Amino acid sequence: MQKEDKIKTYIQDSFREIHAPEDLRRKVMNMSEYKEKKNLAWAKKLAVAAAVALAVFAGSNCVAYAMTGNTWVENVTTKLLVNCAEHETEFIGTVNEDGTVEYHGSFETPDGSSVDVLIVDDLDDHVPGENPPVFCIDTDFNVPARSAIVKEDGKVYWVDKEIKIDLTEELADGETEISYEREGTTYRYIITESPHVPGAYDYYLVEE
Amino acid sequence: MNTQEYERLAEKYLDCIYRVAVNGCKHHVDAEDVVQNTFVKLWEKTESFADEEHARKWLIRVAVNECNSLWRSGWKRHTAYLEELTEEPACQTAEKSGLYYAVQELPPKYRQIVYLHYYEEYSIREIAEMMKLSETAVKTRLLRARQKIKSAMEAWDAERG
Repeated sequence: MQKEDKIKTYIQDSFREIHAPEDLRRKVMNMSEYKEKKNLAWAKKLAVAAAVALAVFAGSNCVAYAMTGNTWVENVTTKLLVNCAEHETEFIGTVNEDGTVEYHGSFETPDGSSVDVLIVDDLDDHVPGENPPVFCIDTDFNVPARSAIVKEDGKVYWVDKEIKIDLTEELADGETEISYEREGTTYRYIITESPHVPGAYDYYLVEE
Repeated sequence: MNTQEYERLAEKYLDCIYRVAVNGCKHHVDAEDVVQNTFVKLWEKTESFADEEHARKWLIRVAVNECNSLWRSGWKRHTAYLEELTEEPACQTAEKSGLYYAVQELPPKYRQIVYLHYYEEYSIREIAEMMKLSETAVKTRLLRARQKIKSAMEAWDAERG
């Protein structure tokens, strides 16, 4: 058998053994029941997603700080859809070694404050100079952008207003969880090394 | 869509759409979301399909779009996952096992095309239409995927002596 045919046969064999899990099959086969539950779940999920999205954007300065050795590509002016509203936004695109492009930009919230945005995209899908990509985000302007990961003197800190937590040792394994109280509310975040940007971190609020 | 037709199509194409989703996502949770969203769209679809192939292509195209939507969403892009894709098929030979890992190591954009081409046996043009890519882009990705698979297989062979 030719090598190419052999690969084809093996690929077919390996994919053939992948089946949808039973739980997923049940959900799909009982669609009317599933849709009712999904509508309820989404209302809750959106509220959390909005809060997390803004927190991530607030942290994009430290992501920019962490980037080294990138090649500057171009400034692109494109549409940024924030909660379905269009913002003409200038992005600076940089190419990473792994073939992704990072677009950095910012937009103004209705109260006049500026929010940083970092979007990672595939270079293959967006040729510089042609068809600037349109980006979409959903966020909640009522959640103040105040928490962020900051790098100072080789150390990594979590900063939330007057609270500053040194995470350098905790993040040695690539992931940590923090919990603290501010103004009577307990906040719990999981922080991990970013799979997209070397040296940067992703974090999200854990729902209590 | 009426319930009977929905159930027929869901039964027939669930595994196919799950494979498209698994190959287009990095995470098991995302793949399940993609499958559910795809079948929600089928459930809500009012126009009927011209034939069986039309239904199959429509479902794959929706699943591919759902995968792409995940990657274009700032929320998903920055969300950390604790659960990785863990399902592995039981491979009958070491060589197949090596190939399975070589395919799984491919980035999703390559893996999905490999699946559609080699398993679903769609042509370059059909894949380009479904994924809204140029034929050149599909050819390039397929070529790169083949190169990566071949070199991963060679490395696997060398390791086994």
